[in-house]
Amino acid sequence: MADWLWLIPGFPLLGALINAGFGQWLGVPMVKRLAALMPLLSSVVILVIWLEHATHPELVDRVWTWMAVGSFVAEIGLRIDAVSLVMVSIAAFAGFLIHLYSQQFLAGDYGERRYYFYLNLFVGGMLVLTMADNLLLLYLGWETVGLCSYALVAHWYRQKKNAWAGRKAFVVTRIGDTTFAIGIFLLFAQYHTLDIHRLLQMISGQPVPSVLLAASVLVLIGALAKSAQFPLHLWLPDSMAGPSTVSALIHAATMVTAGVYLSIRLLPLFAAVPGMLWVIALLGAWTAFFAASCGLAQVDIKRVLAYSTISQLGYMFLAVGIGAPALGLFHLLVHACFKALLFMAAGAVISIYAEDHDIRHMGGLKNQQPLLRWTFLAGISALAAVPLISAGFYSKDAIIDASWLAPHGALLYALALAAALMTAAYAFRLYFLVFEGEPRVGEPYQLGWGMKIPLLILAVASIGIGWLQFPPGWPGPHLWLPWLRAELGPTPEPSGNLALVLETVGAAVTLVGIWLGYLAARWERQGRGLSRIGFLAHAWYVDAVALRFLPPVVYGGARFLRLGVEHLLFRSGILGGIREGLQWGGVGLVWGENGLVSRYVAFMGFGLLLLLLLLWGGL
Amino acid sequence: MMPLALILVLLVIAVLAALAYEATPMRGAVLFGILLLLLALLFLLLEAPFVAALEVILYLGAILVLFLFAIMLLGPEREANTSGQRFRRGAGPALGLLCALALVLGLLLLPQPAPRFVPHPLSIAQIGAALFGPWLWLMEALAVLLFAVIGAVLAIHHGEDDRESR
Amino acid sequence: MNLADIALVIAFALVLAGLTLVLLRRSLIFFLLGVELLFSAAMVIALVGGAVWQRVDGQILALFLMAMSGAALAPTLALLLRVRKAFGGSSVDTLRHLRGGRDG
Repeated sequence: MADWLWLIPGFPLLGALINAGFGQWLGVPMVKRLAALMPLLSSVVILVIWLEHATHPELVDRVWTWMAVGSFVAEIGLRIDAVSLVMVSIAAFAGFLIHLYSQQFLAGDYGERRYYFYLNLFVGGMLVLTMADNLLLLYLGWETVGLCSYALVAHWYRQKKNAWAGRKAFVVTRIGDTTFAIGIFLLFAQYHTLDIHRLLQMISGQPVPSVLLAASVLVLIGALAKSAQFPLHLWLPDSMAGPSTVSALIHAATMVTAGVYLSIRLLPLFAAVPGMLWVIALLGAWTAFFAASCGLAQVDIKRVLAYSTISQLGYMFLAVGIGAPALGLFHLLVHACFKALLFMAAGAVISIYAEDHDIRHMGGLKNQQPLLRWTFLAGISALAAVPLISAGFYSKDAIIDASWLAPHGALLYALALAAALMTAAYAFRLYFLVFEGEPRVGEPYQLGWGMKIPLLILAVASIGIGWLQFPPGWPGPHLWLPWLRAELGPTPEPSGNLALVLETVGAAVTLVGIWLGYLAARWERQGRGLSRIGFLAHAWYVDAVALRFLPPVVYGGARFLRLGVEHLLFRSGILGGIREGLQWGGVGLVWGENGLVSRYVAFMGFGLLLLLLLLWGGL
Repeated sequence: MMPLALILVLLVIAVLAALAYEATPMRGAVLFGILLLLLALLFLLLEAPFVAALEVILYLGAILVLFLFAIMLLGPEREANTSGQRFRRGAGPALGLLCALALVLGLLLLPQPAPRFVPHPLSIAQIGAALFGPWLWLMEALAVLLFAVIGAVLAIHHGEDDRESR
Repeated sequence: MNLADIALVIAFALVLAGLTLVLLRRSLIFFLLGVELLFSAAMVIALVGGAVWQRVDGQILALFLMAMSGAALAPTLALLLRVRKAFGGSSVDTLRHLRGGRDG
């Protein structure tokens, strides 16, 4: 037992509370500092856990019983194990860096108090989600995160399209939230417990195939929607409407990783359904491939990064699907570092070019902003998985190599490898377009210390964090997989000559991709770039098709609900009935309550008679 | 004993019927006095002589006299036709129906045949012991209540004085 | 029929007569007489109970009822006099202030 675990989500939630309650009184500068302090305090608590319990983290804190009705008991129970320790570290520390960066990045913007309120709540919700030891509390965090993402994407709500993007993010993830909730109901109806550990034990102990199939599909849709996997990725590219720091938070520390985390946490549920894991792996590989191909043709700097997020999340699902969740978690960690870095740096780039997102209008920033250039390059290298020096190489290539060993591994491997090729291409296309080439001078922009420090920390992490786990057979540290073995089981790793071949192919593909990226950047400058391919630039028209066909269905359903259910059933039927009943009841009461004592006595006598009859009937 | 009881029943019913249709308050009070005497007889039959005696002393001697005083002070009644009348017309038959229902239910529910019943005389000493034993606190509470009644009557009367003096 | 049944029949007749007076008569004097009849009915039943179960409590209850009815009656009659003064009549129907207005 560790009855101080609640401090971890408690600090950011407290920060949000103080901001909401006393922010006006404290003033914006104070609110900003307070908001940044809260995730730092959480990080300190987490650091204590690392120092004390790093080898075998297993902490439980039952805060109080939320509700108990019959056999249904929901507790506010927090649990830290290896997986959630990694997750809370990312959420709290990356969250802190993003808070820190925002201090200067968003200074003087409108709605700063609101921004920091949601930012704190976002981090707090994510921490609740990752630490929850029952599904209900997890769902609470899940919804909090969804709400905050909506509010933050629509942060600059005075522009209509930003508000629209926020709504889109909300609506699309809502599909997944709803199915996830139904999945939870199903699991509870079958197993009568919400506690995750007990639930997973019962699932492996007494599987009910039909229920498990339905529940796992429903939960999976929830995870896919949250993590923006094909075909529920639609909300993510549009969520770029928010401030860049928000994108960093959504894509790195919170929100999208929730789906991956959920699928790692509930892995036994998916494993209990035959074929389910392979479907997850295929979806992940396909999403990685699809999103990478879209990323090739984007001209908006943030949309490139958005598709790269979808693609990288696809790798994580692939890892979960092939039975290597430890690698998925590893990649999640690496991705959190470099994606937060890239988004924050992109935010600075956009500021330099006066809010112009088009990378074709950029160029040659490397001399103007050397620090920004080197840190951005570190993030891009990690994204493209440059061999040996970047963290992405150690996490992503490990997943790709491991996918070879899965059933029908060749298909997964081919998709993943093609995606890796395109990833390297679009990542370096972005880099060459923005930082190399002839200089196009933007506005003078000074990175403050509050922005430099997070960038530097994340750049170092993007390079160095991969060295936790070297490929099998290499000399060097192998810390990550053994540490997680107790919890997530052994991880399939190719060995011997096969491993060597796969690693070489992976590295070669990356290098080819970088060269392609260089070419693509050059073509783009010459005006005949990939962005002219509408099929890729519009993301295979999936969004357009969905917008063409889905809204009429939804609106039709809403119309039916409004006219059929609300007007007819509720307003005319139930409410009308209630009104009529009240009216006639009122008439009756007025007749009865007329001040005539004898009438009151008559009522008393009547009531007495009724009571006597009741007693007689009861006895 | 039984014929006496039956006669008592008939007498009580006759007096009650007269009371129900009596219009003059004074005659009503007299009928009520007769009824109280009949009830005292019934209590004697039920082997409760103490209660019967108190019935005569307290009810007949005190409460009825209170009624008489009130009637004297009120003077002749002016009956006004009010909206309660319609309710009364409806309530009469309803009450009759209720009686019939109660009688039928009573006949149906009465255990048949009734067990032989002989009242068991209790001495006044026993009553006293119980009154000042287990029921002592209720007894004291009642004393306080009766004292409060005096206060209440005084309070009601006090306001009246004020208005008259003005 | 035995004595207890006869006494209960008398109690029933008392209740009916009391209800009749309370419900059907407008004069407050008869109204109060009806209330007294109801009290008497309760006394009879208490005594029958005491006699059937051969316990002294029945008589005690009857005594308490007697005291209670007296205690209730005295202020009521005092109020009756004031009502007469204030409203000019002692009909039940003039007392309709429970309804909220000055008169119904």
